[in-house]
Amino acid sequence: MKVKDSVKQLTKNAMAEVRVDIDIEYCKKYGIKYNNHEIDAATVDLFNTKSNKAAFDFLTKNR
Amino acid sequence: MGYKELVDIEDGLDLDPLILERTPCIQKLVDDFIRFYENKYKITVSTTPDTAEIISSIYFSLFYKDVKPAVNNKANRFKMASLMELVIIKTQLLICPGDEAENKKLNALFAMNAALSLIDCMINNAEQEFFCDTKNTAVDKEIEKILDDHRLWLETKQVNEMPVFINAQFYELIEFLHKIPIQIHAF
Repeated sequence: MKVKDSVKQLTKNAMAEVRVDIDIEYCKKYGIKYNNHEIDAATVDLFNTKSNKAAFDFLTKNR
Repeated sequence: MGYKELVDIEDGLDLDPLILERTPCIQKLVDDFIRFYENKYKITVSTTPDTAEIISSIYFSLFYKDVKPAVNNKANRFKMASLMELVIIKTQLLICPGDEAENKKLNALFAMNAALSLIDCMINNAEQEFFCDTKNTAVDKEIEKILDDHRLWLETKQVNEMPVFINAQFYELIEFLHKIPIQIHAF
């Protein structure tokens, strides 16, 4: 299975347009790494309905 | 141009399986959000074709090119949530009736929903920890104001600017603020 060509083209365009807020080349050059509370997302059930609902209710409460 | 050249990532890393593996759960996020939104606000929302695959593709491309090289081993949930949020703002894939401003509001809410849901998925007993009522009206009001201001920023920011790292710190602080009253009550 491959990602659709149209999606790849859109991704290519997006990658050419965006800039993140740190200088990755600088980080690579000087071996700078951010510390993390490391998470292995591979086994996590991302975006399950329970979490989606909790987030929606939290954001739309009183609105 | 091949995909590896496109994102200029580590040699031999093919992102396609990762993108496609995560596309269904992002589709679930999209479907759930639209259902909740339509039920609450009685407004019909539509999407651009391949919405989930586009979000997944841009997310993982940016993650491996611009985030992973600067973190130790694995990124934490706040950086992941931050990036997911900013990718949704960049792409603006949800569409509602009305003008551009209404659409930006909708996508800003969707982006924050995605970020908070992602964080929630990665914490044990998150409902007690992250989404509970703090029992402190002043704190709740202040957090609501901060979230409103964040949503306004998402509506008005330049979509191509991706402050992933500072935005991750925003979510880390929001989670921390929620924990404070609980810790006080515990003593």
